[in-house]
Amino acid sequence: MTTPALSGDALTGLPTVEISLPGLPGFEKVAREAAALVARHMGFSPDRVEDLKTAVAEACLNAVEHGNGGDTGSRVQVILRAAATRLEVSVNDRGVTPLPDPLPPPGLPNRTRGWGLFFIVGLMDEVAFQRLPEGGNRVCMVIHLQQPSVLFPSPAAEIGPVVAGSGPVEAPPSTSAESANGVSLETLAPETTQDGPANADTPSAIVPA
Amino acid sequence: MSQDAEVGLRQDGIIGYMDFPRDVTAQTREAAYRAYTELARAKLSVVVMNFTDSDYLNSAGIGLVISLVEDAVQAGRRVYALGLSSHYRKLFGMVGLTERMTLVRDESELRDLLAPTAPAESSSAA
Repeated sequence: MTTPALSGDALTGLPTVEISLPGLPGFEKVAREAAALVARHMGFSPDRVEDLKTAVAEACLNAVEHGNGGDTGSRVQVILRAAATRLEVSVNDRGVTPLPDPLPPPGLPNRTRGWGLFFIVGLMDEVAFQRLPEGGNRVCMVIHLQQPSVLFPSPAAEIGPVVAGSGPVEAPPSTSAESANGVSLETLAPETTQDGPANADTPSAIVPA
Repeated sequence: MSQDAEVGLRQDGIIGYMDFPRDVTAQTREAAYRAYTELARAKLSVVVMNFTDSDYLNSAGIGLVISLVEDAVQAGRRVYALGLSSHYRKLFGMVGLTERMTLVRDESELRDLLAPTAPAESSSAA
């Protein structure tokens, strides 16, 4: 486990926190608490902070158990990007088991498991599940602030949406196929990253809450 | 990260209390079922899952609760959840648990709810 490092994003200058977690159950709480700390500083309400904590923990657990295939030697990368009206959290793993597309119904294979993705989708404002061109899975989650964060009072201190281009921050359209759990699932255009467009063949789905 | 996965068990008349630990996760499963089996053997008709000390329930932990509640309801027991924060009350609602069990904020509310059926037994509830 490494100590969360606060640094400015190379391109945006916005604070970015990067955490590398060991592939062991329990360490998801490190990412959960770090995300909560940033969200509280940004001015998110206690309810939204709790939503974020659950979503981040579930994404990390999913990465450990499935994305890294339970390999305790593999790590999980968590990146928090704070902007004026949004907090973006990315969770990357090795992609041993690809993220499901479409999402399975919740509570499968039995009622005792399979609720993690359901919570992530239900609690976050935007969620993207992606296969990275270099290999690995990425779960990218965004929550929006109603008012600009006091940390970033200038509207210029904003980054674009997580996926699908560089327009203003808004919920994506929700007209698409509906998965078995009743959550709409949408395939998007290839992501434009800071390094240029991602692999066009990379499946990408975004789920507005 | 190690964690205390023990689930306490108390009996108060017809009521069986399962006192869940701080973290309710996949690691809690064995202890929770051990406690529930004990409670079932005692033929208690009311199960109170006490989450007063719990501040982290992940999806596996909530799945465990679902499994326990289904077992209890099938056996004809009434099930209550005690001491959940508003966030976890919301999550219980999202997975449909609130249709199978009653959520109560504290022991006082629980006593009020149980009073018609177990007036004498609830006096020594912790």
